[in-house]
Amino acid sequence: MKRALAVAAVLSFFLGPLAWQALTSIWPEAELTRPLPRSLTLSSYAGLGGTFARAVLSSLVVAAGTTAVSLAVGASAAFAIAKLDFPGRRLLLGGALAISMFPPIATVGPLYLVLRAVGLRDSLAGLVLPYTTFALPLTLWLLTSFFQELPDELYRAARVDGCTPWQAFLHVFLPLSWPALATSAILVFIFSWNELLYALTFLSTPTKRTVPVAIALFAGEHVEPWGQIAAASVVATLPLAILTLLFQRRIVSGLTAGAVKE
Amino acid sequence: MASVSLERLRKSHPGAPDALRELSLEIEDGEFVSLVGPSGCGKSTTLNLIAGLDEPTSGMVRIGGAPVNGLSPAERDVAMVFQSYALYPHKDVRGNLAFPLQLARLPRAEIDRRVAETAGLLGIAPLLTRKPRELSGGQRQRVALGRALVRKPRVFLFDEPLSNLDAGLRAQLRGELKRLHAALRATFVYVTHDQAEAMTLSDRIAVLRTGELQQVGAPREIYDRPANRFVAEFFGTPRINVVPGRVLGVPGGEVGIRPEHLEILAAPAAGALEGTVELAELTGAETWVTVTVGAEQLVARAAAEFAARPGERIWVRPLPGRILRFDASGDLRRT
Repeated sequence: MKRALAVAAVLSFFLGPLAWQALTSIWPEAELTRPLPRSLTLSSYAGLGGTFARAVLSSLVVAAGTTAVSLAVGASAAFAIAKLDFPGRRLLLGGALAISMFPPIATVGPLYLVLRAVGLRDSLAGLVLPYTTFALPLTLWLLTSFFQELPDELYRAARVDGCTPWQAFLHVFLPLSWPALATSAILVFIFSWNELLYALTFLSTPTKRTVPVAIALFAGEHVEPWGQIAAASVVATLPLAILTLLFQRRIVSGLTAGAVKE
Repeated sequence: MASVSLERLRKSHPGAPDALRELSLEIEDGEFVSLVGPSGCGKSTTLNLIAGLDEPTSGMVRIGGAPVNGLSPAERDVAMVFQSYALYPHKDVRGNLAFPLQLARLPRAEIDRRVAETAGLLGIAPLLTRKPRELSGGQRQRVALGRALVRKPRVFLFDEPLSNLDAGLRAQLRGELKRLHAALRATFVYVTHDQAEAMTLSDRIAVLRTGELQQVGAPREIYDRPANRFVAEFFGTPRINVVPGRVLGVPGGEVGIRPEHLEILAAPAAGALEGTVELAELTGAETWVTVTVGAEQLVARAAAEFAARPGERIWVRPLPGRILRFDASGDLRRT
């Protein structure tokens, strides 16, 4: 009984806000202040319209792009750090960590100037680039520790069998690293999907806005469309929830990779 | 097939003692040579330098007479078998065997033919569709062996390939390796810390210690005429007895006598030393008797039926010509 109560408390703490959001999205706008609505409606979803659909598309492009670039660069770099012998490996890892320590608000001004200078301002590619710099350290650390757990003899065997270092990575280590890749992918995807500050600053064309920006800009001067904001939040959260549930097992095995001897 | 020649190989790592100091060694075409020594002696380093997995700080590696420094492992045309088998976990046995051939861009039909041939030779044909995790230790090592064989390389390198197996399986695979070498007449370089393994397998043994070559020779020679005390003590179980010379009536320095070269007598005789039985350990085929002579303890081999109890008086006599004499620095004195 006590246990059930504790579980209920924890669940309501985490799921409460989500449930609230979901309820608000189907609560008729005019009755938001009433304790119970007279009827439920999907009109908030219907009201989201084409602009929001575009935002979802933009977010998908940016998040998928960031994930792809982070994994491609992160996995090969992590492999090199974990298995190849070159000077400055520790420094590279430490440097990556140091970069991720910068608060985004401190970099947003200089980054804006840089992106404008290279002509990437107000483009989705202009978001993928800075997102990758923030996502890469995480990917790098996660994958490096994973590759370090794979035995060195496997690399030496691949080399003797005729692999170049790149072939050893491609044919031997990459196929073995799916759990870690899936974990990194999810984490990077969530980060890029939720990012607001850069997206708000670097994008000006309304049709390019990402989901967090779109939601933030729903509020007009005189009205707060709570129902629509809630509906948009639900739509934005759903893909993440589904993705995470799908890969749940892998994420856990990826995060604990090498924690204990197998 | 090719000879391997190591010329004044040195390998140093910054901030650490040299892993290898000026190692020179000639390995003949078709020879089975073991590199033996305790851990950290440089034997695995040497193997990596031959394989091309590592480059020497100075010195030269030649395979088939041609210098191979700076060449990749693939260009050197060597194959290696590892202690942990190092099979590719995501590939089945067929995939593991075919991988080196695919990398060499052999035609498909040739790959299939060679994989089938190798699998037949090693008796792993029924396992071709299994993944490594579904195999026993012995089967895994056979597959690892197959992955080396399938390429028909010029030189085979073995890095403690039997150390992860239990004793029975180890003895069986040891026999297979020996037969394989006889059948292939290929050059085998075999690293092990197990002196018995080196003795039974090798044409010649190279003994290393902290990066320095101690002795190279046929097993018999290493055992009977060890270059120094270290080599004498490394080979043979139980270990050789090393005592001050005066105990056996030899002036100065230290002397060594192997347990099987000490004869046990029940009564005094010329040249026999009087002692008391300390311990008698029956191993089945024979009994190892620890005898206290004065302040020293000597181990001697006795027949399995040896019945003396601890504390009993006994006499031991070194067999003529079997005493090894070491000088002050531990080197064997040539007499």
